[in-house]
Amino acid sequence: MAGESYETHDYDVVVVGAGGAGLRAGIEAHDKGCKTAIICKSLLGKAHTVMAEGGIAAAMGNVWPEDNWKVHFRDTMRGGKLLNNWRMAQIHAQQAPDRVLELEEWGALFDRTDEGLILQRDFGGHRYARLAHVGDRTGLEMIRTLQQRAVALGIDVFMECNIQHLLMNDGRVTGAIGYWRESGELIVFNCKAVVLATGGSGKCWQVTSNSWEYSGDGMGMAMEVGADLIDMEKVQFHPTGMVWPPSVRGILVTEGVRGDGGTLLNSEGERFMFNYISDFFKAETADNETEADAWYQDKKNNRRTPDLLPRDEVARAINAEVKAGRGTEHGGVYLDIANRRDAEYIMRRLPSMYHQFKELADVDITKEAMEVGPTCHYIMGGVRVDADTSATTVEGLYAAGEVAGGLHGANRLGGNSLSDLLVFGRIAGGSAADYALGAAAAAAPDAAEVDRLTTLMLEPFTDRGEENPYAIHMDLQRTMHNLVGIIRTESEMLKAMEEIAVYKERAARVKVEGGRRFNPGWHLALDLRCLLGVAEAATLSALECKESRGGHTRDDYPDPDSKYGSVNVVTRKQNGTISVSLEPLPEMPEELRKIVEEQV
Amino acid sequence: MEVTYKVHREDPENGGESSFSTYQVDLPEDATVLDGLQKIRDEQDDTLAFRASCCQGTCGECAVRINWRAQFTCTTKIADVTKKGPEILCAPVRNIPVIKDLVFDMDKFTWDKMAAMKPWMEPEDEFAPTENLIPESEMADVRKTMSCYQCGLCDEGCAVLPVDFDFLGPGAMVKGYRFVMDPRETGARKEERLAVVEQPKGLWDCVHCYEANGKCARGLEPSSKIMEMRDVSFKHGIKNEKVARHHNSFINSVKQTGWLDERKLVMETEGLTNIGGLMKLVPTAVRAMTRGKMPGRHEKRPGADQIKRIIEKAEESK
Ligand SMILES: Cc1cc2nc3c(=O)[nH]c(=O)nc-3n(C[C@H](O)[C@H](O)[C@H](O)COP(=O)(O)OP(=O)(O)OC[C@H]3O[C@@H](n4cnc5c(N)ncnc54)[C@H](O)[C@@H]3O)c2cc1C
Ligand code: SF4
Ligand code: FES
Repeated sequence: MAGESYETHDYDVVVVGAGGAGLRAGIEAHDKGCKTAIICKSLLGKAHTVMAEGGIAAAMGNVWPEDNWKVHFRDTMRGGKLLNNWRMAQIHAQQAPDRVLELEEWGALFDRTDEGLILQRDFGGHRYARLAHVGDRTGLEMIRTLQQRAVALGIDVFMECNIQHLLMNDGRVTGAIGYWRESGELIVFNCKAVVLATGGSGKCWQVTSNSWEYSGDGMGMAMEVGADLIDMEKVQFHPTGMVWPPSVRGILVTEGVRGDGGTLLNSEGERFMFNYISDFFKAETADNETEADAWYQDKKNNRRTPDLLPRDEVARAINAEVKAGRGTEHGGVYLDIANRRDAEYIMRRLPSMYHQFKELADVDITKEAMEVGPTCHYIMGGVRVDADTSATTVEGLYAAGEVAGGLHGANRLGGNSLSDLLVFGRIAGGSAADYALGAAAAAAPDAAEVDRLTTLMLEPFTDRGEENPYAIHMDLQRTMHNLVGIIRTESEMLKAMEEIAVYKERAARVKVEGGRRFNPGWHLALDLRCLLGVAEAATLSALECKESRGGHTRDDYPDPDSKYGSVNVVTRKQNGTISVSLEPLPEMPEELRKIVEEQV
Repeated sequence: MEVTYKVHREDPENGGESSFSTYQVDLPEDATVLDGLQKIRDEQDDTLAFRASCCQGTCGECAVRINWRAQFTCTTKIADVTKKGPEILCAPVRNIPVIKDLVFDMDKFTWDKMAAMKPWMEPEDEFAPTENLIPESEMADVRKTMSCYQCGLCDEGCAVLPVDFDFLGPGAMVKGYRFVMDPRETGARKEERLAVVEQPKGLWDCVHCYEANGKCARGLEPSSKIMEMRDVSFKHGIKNEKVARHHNSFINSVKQTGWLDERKLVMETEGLTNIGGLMKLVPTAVRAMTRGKMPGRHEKRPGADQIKRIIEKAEESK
């Protein structure tokens, strides 16, 4: 099949991904004078970012004058169990408010206070109400604002174009190759710098809030060109996903429900979260119902309810309740907002949640409690980047958003992703542009390498076996759910490694029917490569990390171990095999350490 | 629950003949139409093409005509569409070129038209990070329309698009409303914004069939939004010159004679100095004349002065 035809495009900067991170990166690269392309594999405006509900975390200090970047920094570090890259956490907290105001300048409509200020909402782990939001449709307004800005600037957008591999020349990334979903034709980009903004890999797991797009493409592609990944075992299981009916299992129930007054109850009607307050959060959390209830009215003089502890803590607590036989009929717990708020309030604050439960579960959340349980939601780990430039460990390659690792440490706080996208999307786009403006023109791609990759991409059409890509994907999801889920042990993960090896062999025998035009079987057959690669990296990291912390809980090592308290678990692919190593985190300066340790 | 899916198939690559494929699927009672399509694709026919992303009713990507009514597959329960029998028909949304099977061409359908609305704000000067002070009460109304999915369901029902594909359509008009009503844009900005929605093929080409109101997946009432914008446009002075001439000619005719002088209306709308436009009217005039349908000349009718006073009163109270 050598010599397969393809179209070619030349740019300074190519951004792969059109979620919040990719769009912000593209805008910045364009503003710096680079010829920029933004590529996305779904339609523009349908990325994961559109699904984000709760809000954008930013210490604006407007509604709560006490709030500032230092408090936000402290919350982020503590929520991440201090495994965060401190410099990223600092930049993030310092720049988030400006990014929110910038969105407003470009047209975004935030919810307001009566005085006209941008209203902010409470979320788990944030000391003050800090999430700028638009009802429970914040991501939608954010992505619209950014996509429309990109259109206004005339940036070229390639929609439904799936990038499969990065192209290298002289140890430097100089392009990318992929296919148009619509026509199945192949396409090559030549450029001086690539920004990865492809989001996460939640589709490796069975019960997930993530969409088909989260097949770990960016992480997989980066790994293949030798870039480091970090902390791939740190997976956020969001405590509140839908559990019933089965067809909607995993769909997210925003933390905004708890932020706005919803409380968690077990089947005995007990507010069980009081039994799960770890020492780390004792000082700042209410330990009885009276104080927790009073906090909703008077946040200054009471400690916050344990319903709003960081996500890893709440997810583990729900898991434990269900295991102890205090779960609901369908294996979740109850989340009730109707007992505290009236229908008008709920409909105004949480319109999407109302419709979601009404339409999909036939539950009226203004009258009844919801049934919820943990769902795979976010990957804290990802491509290793430099905090100040978002550069990966490979020249010419940058990464921002969920695909990158480091900012969130062992556990991400809600709302800190949307702000991450804006802050580091801008930085990645700017650095890629700076690099591109100074770099020599990219050499034309090596024809033999392009031929090799096109052959690889078209292989599923050849006669090589009878495997169905969907069957392999479902098997992988089941393996990861059962053996590398919320609670992990060595023997199960070793079994997972064996199963993944089998899936890899099966993937090599996938056969797809039909032609190349919008052929979903072929699309998934190609996605399997990154899905399997990322699943393997996550399992290997999880095996190596023999402790429990944040989004990584081991049954056989249930406590944190200081050995892992100041390192990244690094995965790296060399000569076709993935190696795992522990490498020290950058040292935090003394004045920042003081901020983090301060008791409040 | 056993259901039969009858799914539209069309692949321009293979000659573009359209047909229906039939599949038997066993699904739980509370499954969605999307669950069934996915099951068919995963187990029976992996060439079946359809779009869906979030699977929870937030992205608006999965619009399909289910039993001839366009709706989202991910929020439509099979139980609700099989009440009359266990067959579920899936066809692509109306009026738009098909890419394959149930996948249609979003580019032409909505994107270009949304972009024509210039749905962005231009910062006044260098980025100065300060907050606009706008009370919630002023923002609440315009915020309702921000939730538009850009799904295209409203355009699917539009009565103008089938005869004039260049009409911007209700989806784009809702986007326009979102900015026309924004309290942060005032003065000259507001006038520019109105000029954008009033462009030819825009605000004034709607024939008020009100179909879109019943179609909108978010309940945004696109048709009503078009009418609300027309009210705003009246208050600010109509920017679309042709429509303004039409409007003025109409009012003047009724004010002066108490009648609507259709001959004058047609010519004044075209513009009395617009020779090219007027020439285009000639064939129609000739045809009307030969068939005896040319409207006659209207003398001032009795009571015309009273009509004039009524109009002036109404104009004052506007
Ligand atoms: C239901 C839900 C609710 C959430 N709520 C919140 C919240 O309230 N607050 C918060 O901070 N976070 C929230 N999150 C998390 C947050 O939305 C995501 O982490 C964030 O949107 C990721 O943004 P991104 O720009 O990195 O990626 P995305 O927005 O997912 O964009 C990825 C882009 O990459 C493209 N892409 C991927 N692979 C390829 C490829 N191979 N070729 C070409 N293009 C490709 C995709 O098409 C897409 O355009 C939520 C997540 C979910 C699922
Ligand atoms: S106005 Fe309604 S129907 Fe039209 S595109 Fe927006 S959400 Fe869809
Ligand atoms: S798949 Fe997103 S609305 Fe149906």
